[in-house]
Amino acid sequence: MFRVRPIFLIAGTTINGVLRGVVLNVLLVLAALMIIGATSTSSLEPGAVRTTIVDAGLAIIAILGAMIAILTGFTMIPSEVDQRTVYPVLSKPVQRWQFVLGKFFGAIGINGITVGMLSVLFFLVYFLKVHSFDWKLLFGVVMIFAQLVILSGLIVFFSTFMSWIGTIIVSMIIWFLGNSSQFLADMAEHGTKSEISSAITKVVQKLIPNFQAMDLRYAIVQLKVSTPGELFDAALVPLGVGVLYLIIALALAVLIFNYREL
Amino acid sequence: MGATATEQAVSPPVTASVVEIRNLSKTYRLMMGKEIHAVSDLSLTIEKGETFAIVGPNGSGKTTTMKILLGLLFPTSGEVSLFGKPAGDPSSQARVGYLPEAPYFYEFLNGRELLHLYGKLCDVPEDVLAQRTEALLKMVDLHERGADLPIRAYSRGMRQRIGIAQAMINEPELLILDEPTNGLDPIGTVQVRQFILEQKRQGRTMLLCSHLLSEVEAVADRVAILHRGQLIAAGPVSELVPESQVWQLVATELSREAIGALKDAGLAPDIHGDVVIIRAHSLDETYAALGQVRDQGGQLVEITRPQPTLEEQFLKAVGEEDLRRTVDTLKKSTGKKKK
Repeated sequence: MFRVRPIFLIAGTTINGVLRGVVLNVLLVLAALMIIGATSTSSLEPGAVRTTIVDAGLAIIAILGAMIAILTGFTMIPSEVDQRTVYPVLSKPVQRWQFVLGKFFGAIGINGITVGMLSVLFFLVYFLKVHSFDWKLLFGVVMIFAQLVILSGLIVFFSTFMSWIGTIIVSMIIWFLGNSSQFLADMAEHGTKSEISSAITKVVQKLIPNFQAMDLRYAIVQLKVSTPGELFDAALVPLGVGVLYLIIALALAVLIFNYREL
Repeated sequence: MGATATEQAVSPPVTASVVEIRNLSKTYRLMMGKEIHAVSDLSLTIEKGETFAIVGPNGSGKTTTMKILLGLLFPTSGEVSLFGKPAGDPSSQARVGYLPEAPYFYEFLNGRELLHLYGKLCDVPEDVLAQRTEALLKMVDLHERGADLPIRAYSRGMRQRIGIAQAMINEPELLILDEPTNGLDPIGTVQVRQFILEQKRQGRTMLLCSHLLSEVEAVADRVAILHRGQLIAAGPVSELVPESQVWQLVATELSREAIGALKDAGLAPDIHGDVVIIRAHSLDETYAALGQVRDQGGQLVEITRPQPTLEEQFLKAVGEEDLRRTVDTLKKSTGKKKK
């Protein structure tokens, strides 16, 4: 019996629960204040205004977005199991894979709300300061959203078998290392004399999704790309790899949760 | 007793079996190779329209059995089916309503939203769902205060009532109620009992799990007693609770001589001031006691036939089982020492 309705009902309930909670709202207010604060400094030279706003704005959306994804995502499956709210749901005609995917789509919805709201604020600040709109910024926030979707897939995967604290720690480490992919590659190449640690660093760098490659801030700020085609080319490979990671993480999450005793 | 109980519990194959459990065992494997046998070789069937109760003390395997039925746990061995489909199959889940032991619901939703969510998960059509939600809220008396109140603000009784409503949202053919009166005040308990009796009257199949035997006794057609994961007794309540052979006579105005005469007749009266209680263990003894009371000039106040309760039978069965296990353990340890 293939039904998609339960997936969206569970996703909707997940989003509803997070919206009515405190965490998302507090972090959104914090992020909004940070965007306004970081971009409203008056001591900047006219040429540096655009650079600072783009750099700080996108960085805040990416960092706070990841924090929100982790802090709302880790509770999704572990708290449903701990508080046993999963019992009445799974006693209805809902299959476990539908529940896992519902949680994932709920996370996507929360990421969408987070990135959407902060982006609107960011574009508004940019327009007020620079008096124009740069379409590349839109591409930048879409890539941040894609990064968060992949991160959420990993969070859902870890939360099917880890405790909530384990899920937070591992997700934060992965997000941090994924955003330091180039540093890890350099470390593996030149940073260590030990072959073993070099090999381990290489494995970690290859295993963890390369979030850094999806961060187009540098390309946008330094005006390294000027056409949509160039931006698309820059994003295509990391996006493809990210989607592959996502599919594997969700397939494993469904498999593990299917055999988990509740 | 175990073998007999199993034979009694496994009814002859009837096509209308709603629940079928065959040789179900569930073992939890802990660290250091330790194992806990939560359920051992349990077999039972529940027929259409039947009210079946599983009773037993904490840790007897009741909840484990229910969780396996709902597909939340997996059996170590044995087979479990609902409506002829394996446990957890969505097509059979669609025909089941489940009230968990403690109500585990989304705290941020209000009563109406909760029923809408579960109704939609069961594919109840929108127009039907709207009407049914209001009817159920009214049935559980939450239509005025609880419908728009978040679950987090609900009292224990309100949670139990919304739990009953959500279990009924898909008009299930099988209703599984885990400790339905748990934590309720006397009024709430009576209301839930009335609800169960109403469902029974309507012919709905029900599986109750409870430790309140008086409650089960009043509503169940058949009862299975679990103890330490094993079925130790099962059958209709009337069979588990045999008809009493004891008659109790209450008399007053009996002199010392009269009491002496009762004792001489082997009737062993209990004396509580002016009141004398005589327990007769057969009809002949009862007639003899009645004659003595009349002949000695006493006044007969009451004559009753106190029925043993399911609770007494349960304690007896569990006590016998514990005694048998203790003897087995002692025999084993004595055997080892001899070796």
